[in-house]
Amino acid sequence: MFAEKYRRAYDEVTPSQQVMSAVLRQAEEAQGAPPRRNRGKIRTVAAVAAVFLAVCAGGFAVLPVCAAQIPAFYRVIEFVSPGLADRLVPVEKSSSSQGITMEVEAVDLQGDAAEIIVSVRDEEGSAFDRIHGPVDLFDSYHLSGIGADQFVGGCHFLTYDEETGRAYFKIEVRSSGGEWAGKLRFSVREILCNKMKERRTIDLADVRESAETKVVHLSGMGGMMDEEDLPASLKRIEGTSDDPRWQQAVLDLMDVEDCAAEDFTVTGSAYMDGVLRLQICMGDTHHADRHVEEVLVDAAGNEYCADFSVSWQEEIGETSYQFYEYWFINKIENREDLENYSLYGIFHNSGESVEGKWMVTFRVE
Amino acid sequence: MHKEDSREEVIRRNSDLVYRLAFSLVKSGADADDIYQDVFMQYIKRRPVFESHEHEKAWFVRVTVNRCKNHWKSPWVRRRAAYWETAVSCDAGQCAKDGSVLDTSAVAAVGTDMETEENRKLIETVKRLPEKYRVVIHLFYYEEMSVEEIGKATGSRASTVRTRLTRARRILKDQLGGL
Repeated sequence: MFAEKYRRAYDEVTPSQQVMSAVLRQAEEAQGAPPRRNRGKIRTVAAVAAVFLAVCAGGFAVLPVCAAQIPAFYRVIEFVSPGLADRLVPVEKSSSSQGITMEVEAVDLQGDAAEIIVSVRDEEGSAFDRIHGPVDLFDSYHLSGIGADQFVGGCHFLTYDEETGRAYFKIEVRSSGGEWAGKLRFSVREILCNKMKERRTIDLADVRESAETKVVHLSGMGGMMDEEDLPASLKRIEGTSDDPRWQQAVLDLMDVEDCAAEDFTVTGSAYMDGVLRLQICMGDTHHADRHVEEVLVDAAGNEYCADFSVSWQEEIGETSYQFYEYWFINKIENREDLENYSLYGIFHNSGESVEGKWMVTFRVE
Repeated sequence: MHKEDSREEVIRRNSDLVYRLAFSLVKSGADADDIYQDVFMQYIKRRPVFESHEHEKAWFVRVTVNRCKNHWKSPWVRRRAAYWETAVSCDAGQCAKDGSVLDTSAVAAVGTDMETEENRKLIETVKRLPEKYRVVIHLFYYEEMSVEEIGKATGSRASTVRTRLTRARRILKDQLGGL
C-alpha cells in the first residue's frame, strides 16, 4: 500500500527539460558532436528580454539596446541553475576595496524567500591577480535592513566564470512573514582567494596495526552512521558536571608542533577493531578554509565516503590547529585486505585572506 | 552488455532515477537540480564503462548518494539546517540529528505539478525523515532494490540497512498510519 502510494507520488517528480537539456548539451559537446540548438538558453534570453522590456517600459522599449545589455551572469547562472536564471531581476551595483570589486548582480524574490546573486572580481586596473578560481566569503558577509524577525539563510559559492573573471555566490534569505520592500545592504569583510583543490593519494602502506590514543575535547562530530552503532572503542566520552564538553579517544601519532600551520598534515592512520582511522591536521584555520573529502576505493573501483568523523582543536600559543579523524567502519575485513584498497583525498585549501570593506545597498520590491 | 550505448542514451535512461533519488535526499528542487547536473558531469568526465544495466544503475545510485552526502556536509547546508532547527517546530524523532528538516518550499515548488494533495503530503512526510532513512526508503520502495543492493550502493552493511528500514517504517507508520 505504502509502496504503491510512494511510487505514484514520485512518478510525478522528474527533472525539468531545461536541466536535462543542459546535461545533454554537455554530453554532446564532450563527444565532439555539434551542439544542439539551445532551447533552454532561448527561453532564458526571452525571459531576460521580457524583464528588460518591463524595466524599460516607460516609453523606452527599445529591444535591440536591451538585448545588447543582457548581463553576463545570466549565461553563468543558467548553466549552474537554469530555473533560477529565468527568475532573476538585475541589480548590478558594485563596491571596490583592496583591489577587489564585489557586485550584487541580481535578485529573485519568491514569496517569503529571496535569492541574491553576488560576484567578486579583480578591480579593473588592479595590479593583483587574486580572483582566478573559487573564492570564499568565510562567513564574513552581512545583510542588514531586514526586519528583526527575518533571517539570513546562508551564502553558497556557485562557480567561477573564466570569461569574465568573476566568482559567483548565491545568498539565500528567508523572511518569517515580513514584506520584501525597502532597501537591503550587503557587506563583506573578508575574502579568501587563491583557493586550490588537489587530489592526493594517501598511502595505505603506512597504516599501523596499533597505536596509542589520547583523549581530546571534541569540537564537532558527524556522519551517516548512527552514533549508537559505532564500535565501543569509538564511543565518545560524556563530559562531567565540571566539564560538560564531549571527549573522544583519538590516535596519538604526531605532536601538534610537527604539523604545518599553513597546510595539511596527514598525522597518521591505523586499522584497529575493523576500523580504518585516518587523522589529518588542517593547520591554522582561523584565517583559512581547509577541508578534505576522503574516499576509500575497493578492488572493484567502488568508492566509499567516511562513515563518521570527529574534529578538535589543539593550540600552540595563540595559534589553533584543527584536526579531523575520519573513520571507515567495517569496510575492510582485516588488515591484510588493505592491499586491495586505495585511499585518496580531495584537499581544498584557500591560500590568501584579503580583509576589506565591500558594501552595496540595493532595493527589493 | 551495452558498452556501445551513447552518453545521451545512458543519461536519458538514468535521468529520472538520479533526479528522483536526489530530490528525495535533499531539501529543495534547486538542490536536486544541482546534484543532478553534478552526477552527470561526473559521468561525462569519467566515462565509466558499464558491464550491465544493473552495474550502470548501481553506479548512478552510488554517485548520487555520495554527492548528496557531500551536499549535507557543506557548511552552507549545515548553517541552513541549524536555522531550521531553531526556527521550525520539530517533533521528537522526526528531525535528523543534524537538525535538518524539510524546507517546505521544496514541496510547494514541486507540488504545483502534483496530482493530489495526498502525494504531496506523503513526500513531505518522508522528506522529514533523517537522510539515512530517506536513502533506504527511496531505494527500497521506489527503485525496488534489495537490502543487499542498497547496502552495496550506500556502503553500509545489509544489517544496518535492515535496521534503518525498520526504524523508518516505524516513524512513517506513526505519521501516516498503516504501512
